[in-house]
Amino acid sequence: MLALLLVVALTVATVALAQRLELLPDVLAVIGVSVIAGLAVLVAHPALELVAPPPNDAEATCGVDEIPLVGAVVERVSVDEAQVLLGQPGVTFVDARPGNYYVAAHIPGAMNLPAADAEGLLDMQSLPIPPEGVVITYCDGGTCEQSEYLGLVLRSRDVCQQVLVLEGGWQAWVAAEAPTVAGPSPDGEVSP
Amino acid sequence: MTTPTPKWLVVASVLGRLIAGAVFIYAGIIKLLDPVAFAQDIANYQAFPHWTWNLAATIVPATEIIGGLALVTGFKRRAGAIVLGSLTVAFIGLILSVIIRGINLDCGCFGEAAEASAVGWPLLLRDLGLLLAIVAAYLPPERREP
Repeated sequence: MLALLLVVALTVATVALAQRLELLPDVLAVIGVSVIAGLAVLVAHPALELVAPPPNDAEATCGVDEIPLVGAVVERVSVDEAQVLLGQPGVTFVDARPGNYYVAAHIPGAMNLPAADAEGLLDMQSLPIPPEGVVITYCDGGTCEQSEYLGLVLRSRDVCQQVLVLEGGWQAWVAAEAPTVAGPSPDGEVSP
Repeated sequence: MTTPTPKWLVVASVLGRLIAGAVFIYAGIIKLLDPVAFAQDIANYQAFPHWTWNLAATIVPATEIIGGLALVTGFKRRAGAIVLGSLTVAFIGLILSVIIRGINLDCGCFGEAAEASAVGWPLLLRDLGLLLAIVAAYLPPERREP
């Protein structure tokens, strides 16, 4: 919400600057045309399948505050160890990257649960993750927080207590020439 | 009688207009071609409420294109420069917040078609360069109709 306030403040500052430079009508015209064009694209977008907001207000119902982020650490697993676990029963790989990255390529069998969307997933227990199993989360790079965050979300919601973060993430996995598949489904086949 | 604009400033301004204008038009078109991916990129910044993602995913690229066209064509050039300058300042603030928070993500600057560029100091320098080009584009006075 702070970022939104800063954007509003920047907009006000821009308008004030334009006023001072005697360019307010021109600046408002540029902004107005841009907003109208943007809204037109939004309305005319073929499927309107833009990023779906969470079903409820995530901040109010199940926000970050509920998750013990301070001091909480999710255990790591190396790429070599993860490769041994790949395909074993009870082991679920969870891709925390955005959907388009997942479709481009992912670890075979991994399910996609973008970290940005996870907050809004109230019914996490219905995910096809065995509660007594092991979950290995990964995101793009070695230092990215998304896999760690997702791991904490999964653990705090009792989806799965044994959560591991893939050390080095997707980049390390690819660098190790470990198997990958492309496509929207876990096993990589392209859906019709 | 007004003093004539120095030649170096005219050259710098034309370069700034073409460079910044072309970069923003390109970035805007790429993003508008795939607003879903850009909305996801905005979500990844973990900075804005979800109801803004879809709106920003189309309005920001539209602003980039309109502002870029203003710079390249010279029509409403200074207004375009102010709007794009403001947008670039917002991008710089966002990049700084990502660096401070230690999030590792692709900036989404040129949609998903281009090679992903991670948010970090090089990107910050690139945006500062862009801001410099916008300032150069703004500086010469606009020709007024007599």
